[in-house]
Amino acid sequence: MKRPNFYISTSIIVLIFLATGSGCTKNFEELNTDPTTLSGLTPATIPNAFAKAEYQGIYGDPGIYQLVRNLFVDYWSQYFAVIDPGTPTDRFVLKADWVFYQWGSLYSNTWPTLKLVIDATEGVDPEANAIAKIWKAYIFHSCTDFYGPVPYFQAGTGQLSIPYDSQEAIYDDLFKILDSASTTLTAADQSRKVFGDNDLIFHGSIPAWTKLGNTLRLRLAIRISGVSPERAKSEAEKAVAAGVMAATADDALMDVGPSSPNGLNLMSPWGGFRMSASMESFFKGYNDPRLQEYYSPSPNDSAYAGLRNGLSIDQLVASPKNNGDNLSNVGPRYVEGKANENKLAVMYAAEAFFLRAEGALNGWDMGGTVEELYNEGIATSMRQWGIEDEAAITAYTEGTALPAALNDYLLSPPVTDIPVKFASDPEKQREQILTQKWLALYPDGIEAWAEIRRTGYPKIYPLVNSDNPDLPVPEYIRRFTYIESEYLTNPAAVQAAVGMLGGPDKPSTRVWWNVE
Amino acid sequence: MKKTRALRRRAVLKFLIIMKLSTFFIFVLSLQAFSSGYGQNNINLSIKNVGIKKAISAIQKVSEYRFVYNDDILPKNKRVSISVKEASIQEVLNELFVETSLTYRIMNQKLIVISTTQPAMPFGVSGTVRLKDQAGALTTSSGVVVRELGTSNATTTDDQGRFTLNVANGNVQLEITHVGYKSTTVGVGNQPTLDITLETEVQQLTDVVVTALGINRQKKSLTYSAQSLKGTDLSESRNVNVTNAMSGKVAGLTINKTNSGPGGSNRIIFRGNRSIAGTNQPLIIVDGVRIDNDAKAFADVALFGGRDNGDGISNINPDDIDNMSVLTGVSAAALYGSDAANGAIIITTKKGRVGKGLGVQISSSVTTEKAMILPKVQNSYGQGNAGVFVPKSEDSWGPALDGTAVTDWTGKSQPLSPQKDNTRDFFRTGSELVNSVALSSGTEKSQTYFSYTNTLSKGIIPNNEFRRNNFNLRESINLTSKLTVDLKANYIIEDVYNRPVSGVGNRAVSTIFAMPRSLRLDDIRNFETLHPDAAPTQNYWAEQTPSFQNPYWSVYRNLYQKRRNRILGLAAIKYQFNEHLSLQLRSSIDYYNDNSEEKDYNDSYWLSDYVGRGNYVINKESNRQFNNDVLLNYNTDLTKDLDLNVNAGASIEKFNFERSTLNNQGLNVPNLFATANALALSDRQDFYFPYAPISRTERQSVYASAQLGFRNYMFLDLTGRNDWSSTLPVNNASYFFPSAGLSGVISDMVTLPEFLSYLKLRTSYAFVGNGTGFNNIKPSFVLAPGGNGGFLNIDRTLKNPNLKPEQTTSFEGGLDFALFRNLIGAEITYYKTNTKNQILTIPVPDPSGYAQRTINAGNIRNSGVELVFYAKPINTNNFKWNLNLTFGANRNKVIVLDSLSKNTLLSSPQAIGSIQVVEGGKYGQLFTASMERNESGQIIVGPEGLPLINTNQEYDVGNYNPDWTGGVTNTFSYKSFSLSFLIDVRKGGTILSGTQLLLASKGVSERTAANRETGFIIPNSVNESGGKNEVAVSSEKYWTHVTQNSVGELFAYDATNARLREASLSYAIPASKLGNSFFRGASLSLIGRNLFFITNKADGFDPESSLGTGNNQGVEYAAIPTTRSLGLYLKVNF
Repeated sequence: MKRPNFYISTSIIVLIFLATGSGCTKNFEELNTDPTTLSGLTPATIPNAFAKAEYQGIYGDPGIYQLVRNLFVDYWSQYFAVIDPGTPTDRFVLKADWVFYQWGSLYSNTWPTLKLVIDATEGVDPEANAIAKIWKAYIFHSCTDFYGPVPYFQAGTGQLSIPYDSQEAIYDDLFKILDSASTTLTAADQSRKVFGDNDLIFHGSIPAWTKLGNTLRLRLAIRISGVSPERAKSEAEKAVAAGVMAATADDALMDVGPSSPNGLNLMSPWGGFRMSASMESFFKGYNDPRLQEYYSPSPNDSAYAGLRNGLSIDQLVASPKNNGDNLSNVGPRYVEGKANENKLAVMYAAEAFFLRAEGALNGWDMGGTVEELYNEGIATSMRQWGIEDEAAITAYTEGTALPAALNDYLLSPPVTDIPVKFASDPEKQREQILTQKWLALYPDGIEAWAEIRRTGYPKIYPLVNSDNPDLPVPEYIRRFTYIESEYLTNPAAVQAAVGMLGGPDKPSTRVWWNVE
Repeated sequence: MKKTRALRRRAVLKFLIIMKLSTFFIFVLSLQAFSSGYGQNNINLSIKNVGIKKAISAIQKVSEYRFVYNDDILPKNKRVSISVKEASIQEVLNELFVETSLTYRIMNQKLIVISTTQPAMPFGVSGTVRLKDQAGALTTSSGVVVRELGTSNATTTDDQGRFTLNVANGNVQLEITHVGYKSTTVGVGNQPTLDITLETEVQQLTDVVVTALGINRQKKSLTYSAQSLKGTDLSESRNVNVTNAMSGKVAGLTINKTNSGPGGSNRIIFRGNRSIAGTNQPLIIVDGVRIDNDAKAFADVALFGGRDNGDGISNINPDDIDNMSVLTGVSAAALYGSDAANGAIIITTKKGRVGKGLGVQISSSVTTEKAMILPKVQNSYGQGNAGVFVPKSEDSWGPALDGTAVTDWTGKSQPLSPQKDNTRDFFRTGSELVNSVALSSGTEKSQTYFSYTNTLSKGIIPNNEFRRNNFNLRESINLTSKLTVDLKANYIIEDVYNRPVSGVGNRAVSTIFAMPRSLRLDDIRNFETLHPDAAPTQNYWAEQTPSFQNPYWSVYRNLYQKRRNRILGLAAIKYQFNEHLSLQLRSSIDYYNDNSEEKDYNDSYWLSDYVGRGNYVINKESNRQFNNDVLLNYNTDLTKDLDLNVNAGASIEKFNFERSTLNNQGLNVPNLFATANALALSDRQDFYFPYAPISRTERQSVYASAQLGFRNYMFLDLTGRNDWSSTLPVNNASYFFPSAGLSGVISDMVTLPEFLSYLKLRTSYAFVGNGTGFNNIKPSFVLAPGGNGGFLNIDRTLKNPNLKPEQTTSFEGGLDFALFRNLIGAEITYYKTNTKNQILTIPVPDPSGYAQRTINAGNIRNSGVELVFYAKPINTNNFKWNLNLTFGANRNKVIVLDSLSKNTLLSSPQAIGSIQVVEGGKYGQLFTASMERNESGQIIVGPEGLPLINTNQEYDVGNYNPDWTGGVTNTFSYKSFSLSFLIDVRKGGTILSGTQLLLASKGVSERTAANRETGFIIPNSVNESGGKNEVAVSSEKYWTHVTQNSVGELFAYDATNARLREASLSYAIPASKLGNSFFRGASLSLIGRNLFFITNKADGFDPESSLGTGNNQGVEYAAIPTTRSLGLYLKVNF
């Protein structure tokens, strides 16, 4: 009875044993490789790497967007103010468990990814290489603007200690890169689509990238106009001569989608921030039609209302005026439902006009008068936000109204006294150019913060309270301090960097171009 | 009915014949042994005028023979003198027993059985023997030996426990013996029938222990510490997860519970933590085969939380466990080679037994559960801020609860009054119902065990449920005396409904803990508003927030369901070539798949990452583990003093894991949960699972062990194993792991004082490893969704192509002793392990282009003591008191970490603190942000009177590991009653409570009630210029300030606690009451678990809670309260 069963079971056991029991380690390497991943960059995946470097480079991912832009520079630029008492960064606190995200995102993610693309295309695909290098200039200038000296020349080389480079040296190299990229792209076949649709900004358009590169060069030139006026003039004039962005069609905007959404759209329902009082004062005073694009009316009374930056925890809860439902959240295109379609701002053509206006004010050849360029900058920004009525635009540029006093919790006076209409006094003109540029840069807090630091314009409200002892009111925050992990893992290099900084590693220390 | 009974009788008859045959067979075998041992003439003995007993022990000392006899048969007054040289054992014995009625037989294993010569047998006696198990239930068994005392005249019982025996006369005594039970002696007298009960033997020093590779060894011969637990030790307390039942019963064990409701995972640690990036949990071996115990996604979650998938060992049905060997040390597990660094738990499941007939056990238990501990809250101040009532506030910084009527968040006007039980009332009474039936039958040819257990558990969180069905079939076939087949099929279906996420993700618990003290649960129960034209929306008192929701919405509108199907299969054949040599081939499989489904309704606040109306996620995982091994056993006597036992084997283990996830990332039509209704259908594994969705590894091994026994009192153990692991670089794939051990039973070597019944010394040394994971040696770039054609995500870890396995060297030494004929005894072990070549990732400067790199580095030392102590202070026939004590203390030191990096994190930085390994310090040190202090320790405050904060997590608040753990089990039995309770103690260690931080930030915790109206000056504080601080702050300001800055030092608690872990009161129906009924035994127990804390230094939470089973322990956040359970357990045998 049992015998046949037994033989069957025995045979099965022995067979299984023999079938699965081949003692051989030859296939270990293959076995230990994940077939769903790659062990390096392949030619076919270069465009995917570039796409990633673009999205990561602009800090587009919701988590990174929040921890780099929204919780820091978007408050410091006073595009927004905090209503969540748990966010001390609006009172200039460099919260240790938030600040390192920018650093890690750029250095161990964006840059090594982009570096792979640059290394793989070097000498192989000059146009792709040039475009990748323009993007390198984009990501690194904002990084060095955050801190001052940062690792640049040896970043991403896999060494366990990476030296920092002076901001001057970095800017010098960025100008060279942009110059060379412009030359390469101008000589290239203009119909070629580099990286195809994986280029999330221009879908590979060489002329568009050329203009972006040149405009970036102009931005950098203006940035160093105080510290290095000669170099600034020369770089700016070359950039303008080579062709900068000049119409809303040139705007550099980054595609978003379900897996790479616009981070700001996802933050809008969280209840962390609202329109700043500075914005409210300018917009209301100027009767600026962009107000309803930038912000939404408050849910409770359908009015637009902003909030002073730097309110203390007590102040935030002390009045219904500081309640989110009585304040303006971001505008209709920044609602949650549009996260997959509202493109990320890389650079607007309007900025190019303001840069040129400032250059012209400095006496540089910018291909137009200061006033022409200033007015065209405003008009371009208006058009960009869908305000096509030229009469309305003209009415705005001719406007003599001043920023408004507010009915906010602190009954704040007008933020400043500058009108839109082009002034005759050069210093007023400078203030106007930078005020209008600030209004036009929205919501790019990174660039806005840099320009407020550089010029002191627009004149925005001082913080109500600062919780950073290094920055008592009305001091303005000048830089990020180096992150703690650098002191732990790269100590010699970061200490050398502090030496190059020209001041202590504090948020009050000015970076190289930020001359007083 | 009639037919059944007739069949049964025939089966009994057949069985008796087989029994007789087998008795004959054993006899023949022993004759063989006799002949093989014959003819060696090497005994030198000189004794003069000593008693026979002394003479026997003298012979034992000079020969390799052991004697088995009953003291009572030795003539008391007889004195002997023997003087021989080079004599054979037979010559010596013949001389010894001359002029006595004693005879002897030399058995296998050099045992000499002494008995008396057989007289005539005119007197018939019969009766029934019942066996009483530990719970007091009575069963019967065939094969119980009934012997006329002092003779070899004996018989065995049938499966009903009945026997008949002819004895010399009515004055003789019968000795009844059975393996695992205490022998007893009864007088025959004039009783026609005898009713005899055998008690379970407790603490046999000759216990057989299942050791590595499933090799059974006499405990006496082990060179390392091994603890064993019986199945009943693990099943009596009716824990769904068997590891819960180990707590306090194993010396050197630390358990942390994920507190994720019924069926949740536990973290099991023996002898401290040694691996930084690898696992510190032991291997789980079931019936000789490793099972997958990984809790998957949950292992390494940090404060942000994750969903517990349930570990492997929790799938095992405690009722199916026959015994468990706990190998806490490295030496014991050394034969498992590259994964042996953390010890092993070896589970042997039940088999059918020869000679039981058809045994049926039906058991049923029902327990109810309630929250054992809840945070202490203030009941003086209500919803609002700055002392003002704010209906939408999430805080309790509002006005005093004085009954003033206010219009609250519901729109109703209600008085502001304390809602003392609004937290407690949210938790329901949980329940656990376990019903099982086990069938066992066996003939000499084949033995069958089948069991089915149904577990139905409802957690204390509403809507949380756990169901498990375990089917277990075991078939052992003895085809011939040489060839046996062992087959097992274990099928487990486990359904989990709405197991809550841990950590910050547990919105139900965090909200119910943190909600304003004046909110009424009845209002909150109304958690949604229905709309005629749109999906229902959530009712919540504050505006949208990603962190909190209406807790009822969280449990009824964020649904999760998971089914696990698991098959454990085993097939083994063993051929016994002769008495020395056997060969076993074994194949096994552990296959399980987990299918889960997550439904999140429209208006779930935390879904703000997804654009759309709720979300739907399905996840499918499959895990396959195949093992094939061959094991050759050879034992022989090298000389008359030396015996050798050799095991040699080889194995191949393959592991495959796959996962696929479909995440709708929002729904087009609200609340229609279908993949086709995806707003975006894409695979974002990176979002949910930060590790490879595919894993496949293979290990090939050869191993051997040799045990050399000298006179059965001294043992030398040598083992060696070579592993080839696919996870290591090909050049480093081969590793050899040796171990050596030596033990001696002193009490068998020399004559010790009478009271010292047993004394053994042991020591061992081992070298083992801990492997690494799949695809961990070269970069891994992933194409992920994003952009217009996908993103290429690079590897941010700089991989090491020369990785080696972690290496642990271990030394242990121990002492086992028993006093006063085993009334008191202890096993003491000291150990020291050093773990080097740690595989870990350390941070590198981000500008290098990487976030971290994988290295081999470090030297972590663990040393400590384990103690098992037992005593039987009272041991009379009716009343017994057994005491068992376990104790384990571990000391850890990180001797070296890395030349570049002197500390590393055990998890991503947590808001409340960071969990680190620091060179020169201890594994698992907790660092937090802190208040600034001057040299004399005074707190420095700013101009507003608030403490200045150092937000860098540099303040050392302690270590998460306990200093020691221990347990005491007392069992009292009086007649048929038995009372047992276990006190479990954990001393030392620190835990950071995210819950307490949350409650302080919201003005909910008890400590926030003080100084509400008056404000206070921070005690012992100075201002920045060093002067006395005289600025008062409000309670709200202070707590908001310190919680916003996550000043973890204020939320660090001593994890010391002691609790009444288990208690049971059992009643076994006495045999006399059962009579000859259908039932063989029945018992009823009242059981309790986690009844109360004897002491608990943590404030309102269980300090043994953890966020997951990974190495990032020491942080608690919104854990589901530990439950106190009470229940009834009924067991019936027939």
